[in-house]
Amino acid sequence: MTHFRTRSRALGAGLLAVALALPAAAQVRPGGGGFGGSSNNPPASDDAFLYHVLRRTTFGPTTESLAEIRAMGADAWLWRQLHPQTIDDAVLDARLRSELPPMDLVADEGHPIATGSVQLAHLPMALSQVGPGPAVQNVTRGLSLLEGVDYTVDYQVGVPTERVITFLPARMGITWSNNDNVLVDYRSNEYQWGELSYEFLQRSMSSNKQLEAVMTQFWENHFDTSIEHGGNDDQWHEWALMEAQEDAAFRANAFGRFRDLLEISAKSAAMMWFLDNYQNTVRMSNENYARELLELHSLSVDCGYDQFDVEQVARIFSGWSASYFARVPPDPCGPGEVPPACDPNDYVEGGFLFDRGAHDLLPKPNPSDPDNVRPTVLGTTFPAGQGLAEGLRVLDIVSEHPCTAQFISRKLINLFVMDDPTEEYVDRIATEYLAADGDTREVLWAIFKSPEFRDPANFGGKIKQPLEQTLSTLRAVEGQVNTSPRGFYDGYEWHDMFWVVWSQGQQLFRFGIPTGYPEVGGGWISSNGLLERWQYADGLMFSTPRPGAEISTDPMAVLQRLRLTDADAILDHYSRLILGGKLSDERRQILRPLLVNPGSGRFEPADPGQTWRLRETISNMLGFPESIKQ
Amino acid sequence: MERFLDRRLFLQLGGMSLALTVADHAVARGLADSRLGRANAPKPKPQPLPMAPQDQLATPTLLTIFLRGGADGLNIAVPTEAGEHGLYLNYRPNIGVTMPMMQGAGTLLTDAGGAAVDFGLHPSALALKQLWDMGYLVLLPDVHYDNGSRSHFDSQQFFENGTPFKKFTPSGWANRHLATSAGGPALMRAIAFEYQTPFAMVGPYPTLAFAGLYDLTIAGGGQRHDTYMNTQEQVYPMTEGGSKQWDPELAVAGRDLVAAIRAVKAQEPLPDTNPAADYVTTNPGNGNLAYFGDRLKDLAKLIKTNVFTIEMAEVDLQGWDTHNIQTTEQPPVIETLARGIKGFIDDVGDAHMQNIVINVYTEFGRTAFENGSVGTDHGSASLAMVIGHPNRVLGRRIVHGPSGWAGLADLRDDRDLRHSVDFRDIIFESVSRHLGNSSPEIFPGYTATPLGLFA
Repeated sequence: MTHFRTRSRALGAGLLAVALALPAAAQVRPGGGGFGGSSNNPPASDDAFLYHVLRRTTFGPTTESLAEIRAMGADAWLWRQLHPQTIDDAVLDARLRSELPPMDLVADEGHPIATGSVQLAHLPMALSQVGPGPAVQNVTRGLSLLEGVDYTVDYQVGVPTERVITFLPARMGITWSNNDNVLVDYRSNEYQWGELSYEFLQRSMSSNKQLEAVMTQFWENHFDTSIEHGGNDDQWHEWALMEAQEDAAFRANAFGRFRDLLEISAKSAAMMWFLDNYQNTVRMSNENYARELLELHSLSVDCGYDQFDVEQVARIFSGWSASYFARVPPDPCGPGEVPPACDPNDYVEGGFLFDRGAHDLLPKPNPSDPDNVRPTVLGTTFPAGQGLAEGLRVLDIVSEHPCTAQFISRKLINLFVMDDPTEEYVDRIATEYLAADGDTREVLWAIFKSPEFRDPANFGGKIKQPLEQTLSTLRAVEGQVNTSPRGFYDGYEWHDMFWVVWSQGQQLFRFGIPTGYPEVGGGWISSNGLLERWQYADGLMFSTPRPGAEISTDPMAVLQRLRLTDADAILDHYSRLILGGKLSDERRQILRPLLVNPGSGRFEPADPGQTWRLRETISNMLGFPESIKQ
Repeated sequence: MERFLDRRLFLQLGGMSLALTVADHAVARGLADSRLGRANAPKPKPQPLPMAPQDQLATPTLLTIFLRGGADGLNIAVPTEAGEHGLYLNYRPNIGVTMPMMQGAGTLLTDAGGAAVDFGLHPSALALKQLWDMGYLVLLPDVHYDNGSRSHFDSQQFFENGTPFKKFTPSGWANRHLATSAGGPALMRAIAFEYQTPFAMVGPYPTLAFAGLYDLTIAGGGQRHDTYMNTQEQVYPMTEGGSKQWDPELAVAGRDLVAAIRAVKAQEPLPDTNPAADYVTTNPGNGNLAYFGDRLKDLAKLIKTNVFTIEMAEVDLQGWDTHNIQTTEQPPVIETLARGIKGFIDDVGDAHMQNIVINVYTEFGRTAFENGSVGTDHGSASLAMVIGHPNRVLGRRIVHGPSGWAGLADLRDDRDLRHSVDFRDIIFESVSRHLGNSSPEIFPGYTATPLGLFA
């Protein structure tokens, strides 16, 4: 029985990403036919088109990205973004490594040796009866910090206790919850979830691999899982780690084959938990995952399957679970091992567990079942005893299905082009999907080549999701991330970005409806969304930098660096980044008086009141309707 | 987990007229529809002009509480008739609510004469039992619609657009009520205490959505707040001609928001919460449910100003999708629901309650059998409730549809409770009897069956 622990900084190599054999991605060729040639396509150097590309394929234009795309031209820039291995992110990676504490990613086939419930003061004694070792030492260290506190601990030697106890020093001074059986209180649960969200937001905001970040979020949302499911407070640490694993795998496969992405999701512990598949066994079927696999992840509602298929696919995925949920520690047979030294029914791959003992081995459909409505499922049959391969075969079938091609193509068109594509456009991209065997990179290239993507009538036509709004704001005003090691753990400051997005209706990693958030705009327009947006804009521009405050802005310094002193040039600079183009005359008449010195009518850098006026101008511009569109 | 914001509401006198015309909203949405290529969207009709402002006391209010996630009605209103109860416990050996449990909690129900009825309440629903005894509560245990969908997304969509199996209806039933009736000033006729406008309220008629009253300020008030309001008020209606950059929906949302903020601030300080109102505003242990009581408190404050003619309100409660460990997951949500409703009723007081009706429902119920995870999967019929003052609502009754209680021996697809009441019957009766609008456009193509809910 192997027991290994990987300490990985930040969201390091996800085990799922390592476990899958990733085929080498086909490289797309820059300048493949059809660019700038037809009368529908604006020249690739046209400014309006460049803003459009940045607004859609990144989390918002910046001065740097604008300069970059002007220099390279849109096509070469897009090609580069589609090949993130050619992009350098060393600065960001180093910063995150230094900011974030290690996240212990324990992939534990060695399950708890002992479990029990005991007063904390007695824990070392209880553990010492199990045996000496690092567990007892860790607990002793934890106890000395909590002298005088008396509460009950549920302990498990091996996995959770060790991980939890090592984080105790960071949580001094925090009151414990009233749930006495919970060792890890509410805020420390957020601590793990907060790390995940923090890193995700920092990458999305600052990575040079912007399109990769956009696609990672797309897959995360498409294969939605929620960290908050079942409400077991003492397991939130584990759920956060599961989401982190999944996120890393999606990032590594952001431009990969859809078939591979399906498998990442299907084998993800987060998904096994969120859609209850770890409880789907031959004894009692749970069809939650099977339904959503067909309805939400691949074929889409009512396309190519029916209730009978759902029930049979549920049987096929019985036994798909995660080691963490196994009642008995999985014990797969290693080389040279034979039963009874090992369990031939267990197959383990990273955190994924296939428990053949819990799998329904009968054929699907089962010819002896009088309730069968037909002899096939998804148009075929699954002979008895195929085990894990059956589920993989279902993934093959759905990933190649025209319904899936349509569904994924439509979603990607919604993300990058328009909320209301014609059926012909969707068909065109779906054809590409099928021809490219579901390769995301190829499908995206087809979308970026399409006349619809390049049609000015579609520029600025999409409503931003709250995540996109917040990130594009920070990128446009060059929000500075200030963290100190202590500041990271303090209060709610470090939550800021996260709560801003939340309060506008988007809960990262915690959206409990498996459909994920809509990409199509109408649902995001509401008075409350606007309200939160206006509040955020003002709060951001006027927040005083303080120790531990996550984000600050210094627009005067930005203007100095860019050598902008003319009021109209300043308005246009921000308008390009925030509104997607130069400021119109009507809006200029409203904003200019906010910006300039009332006496001289000019921008006066030396005037003490000028900073305040600049901040107020930007804050108001951030409230404009165009800043909510992209 | 709440975001701790130090925001103060400042008294603000606004000069903005409240009488926004409905016509421009209708045009805005009509434009939006054609732009988005929904050629078959019904074109909005010319709208009647809004009436003069009315005293809130005279304005009927319909509060909708949508239980999102597919609430298991069988565990809230528990069958207690001997045969049904026996089947129920057979199907639910682990999660079934037993007679001793309800007895111990005091949640068994009797009719006005003291005779037992066929349903009892979950032990966590004691506050609902109190409402029942006072004659405020109608239980409808088997509500859904024909061939009910078991998909969250689809079924919620059908409940809210009011047209089951037609997914692309561009408006919700509540919006169609607003568009086909005269009421108070357009602003504040319909408020959702939500992060996003619920689809039932989406449509040509303007509606508002904000998470809470604390939300209605920029920069904590003061000069920056004023500048912001003045600036956005001018900018939002401006067109940016030609491209899709200008969005008529967004233009209207911005303008409405400024007007709403000004209107509420003009009423500050708002009425206090009644100290006797026992909302659950602490976390009972299942995620963060405090928002539910908080939002109902805010609605009560607005109603008690006697200024705003809030005809339709919505406060949703999440957390009902109990696929596993239902015995842990569901009780706190039931308690939150029950005590929130009772707290609201105690808070607004008897006079206001004469004019308030509350509808509670969910997009589907759950399987009669428990599953392998000590939970339940998606089902069909579930409990709905109509709650109001006994002078208005004929409470302390259990209401089924004409086909009667189908029973747990005759399950749909051998798994789900069958419905006898279509959800539209409840809503239509509430809107027509309480809000005075019987327009056939509210539920196009559907004729509601009268249920006899109201006095």
